[in-house]
Amino acid sequence: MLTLFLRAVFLDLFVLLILRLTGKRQVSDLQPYDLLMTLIIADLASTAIADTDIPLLYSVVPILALYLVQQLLAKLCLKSSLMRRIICGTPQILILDGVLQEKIMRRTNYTVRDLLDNLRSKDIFDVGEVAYAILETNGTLSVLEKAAFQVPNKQELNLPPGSAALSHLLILEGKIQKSGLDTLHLSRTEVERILKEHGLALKNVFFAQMNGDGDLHIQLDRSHQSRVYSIPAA
Amino acid sequence: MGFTVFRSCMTVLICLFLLMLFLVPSAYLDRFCADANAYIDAAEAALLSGDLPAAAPHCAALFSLVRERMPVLERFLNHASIDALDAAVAVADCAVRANDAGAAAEALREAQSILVRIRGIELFSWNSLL
Repeated sequence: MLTLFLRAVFLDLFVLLILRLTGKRQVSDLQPYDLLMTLIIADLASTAIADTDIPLLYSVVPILALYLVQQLLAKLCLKSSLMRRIICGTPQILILDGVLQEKIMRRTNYTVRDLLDNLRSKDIFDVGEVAYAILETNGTLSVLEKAAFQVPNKQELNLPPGSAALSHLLILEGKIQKSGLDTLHLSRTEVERILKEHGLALKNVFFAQMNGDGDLHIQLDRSHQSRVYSIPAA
Repeated sequence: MGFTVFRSCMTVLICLFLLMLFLVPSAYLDRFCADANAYIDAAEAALLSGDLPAAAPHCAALFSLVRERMPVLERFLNHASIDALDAAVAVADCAVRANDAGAAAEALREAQSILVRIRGIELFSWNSLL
């Protein structure tokens, strides 16, 4: 039993290393080929985990071979657009200038229902609002709405742009986060001073985040009814 | 940048590791098969000449050779075929000691066919590929 346990731990860590080396983070990033490779790797690993009559190398060698082939194909795709078209395919325009492309939809086995489903998931309930819809090589749908239906941005409305800086975590469960302090160029004393000014104790803060403009969002812990404070920049 | 360098290093290491796996187990198996076949041939020759006592040391040496190399062979060969070889060699050794020349010869032939089979797993051939 210990052998089975240790084989499972070893192969799990090994597969984790290989999948991290491939650089893919989530299933939605995967091209069909990448997904297929991931499934084969999982199958190979599970075979050697369960059957102690099989040497671990019987799983390790094919997994390494698949990894090398994947790396080779990735390099080829980077170097050659022809290889990329062959391996990954090309994006397909399903709606061109507001017109559904029946021929392409048939070729890609993409039904009108599929298209409508995907448009709804993008909060578009009327196909008449769509100028272009492109089926990407990883199966996602990219949509460009007709100009009349696009949400105007701040620039078009002549509004002040505001800050586009990221918010950073400053306090988590009563502990000041050093990474947040470093990014926002703040000192521990400054944070404690802001909290003191608002009558808050560091140990009672469940969560605090500061945005690029210096606005602070604080939530106290459960023992203080999870009260929320929004402190604007000084 | 750091991850890309790490990945490139890992890819090179994986290539070297695979290259080692293509060469080292094959060489080890070659040597093992040559040694085992030499003992089998010597034992069979002794059995054919009807000299059972002369076959006994060869069978014993074959048995201890298989037992000695088993742990290493099991690292890269299916355990079932190694166990089958071990069983065949053990039968041959017992049969020689029990003065049963027929059973010993049959067990040695079986051991030889298993050796051919396990050699086929490691040795590249179009048959094993397809």
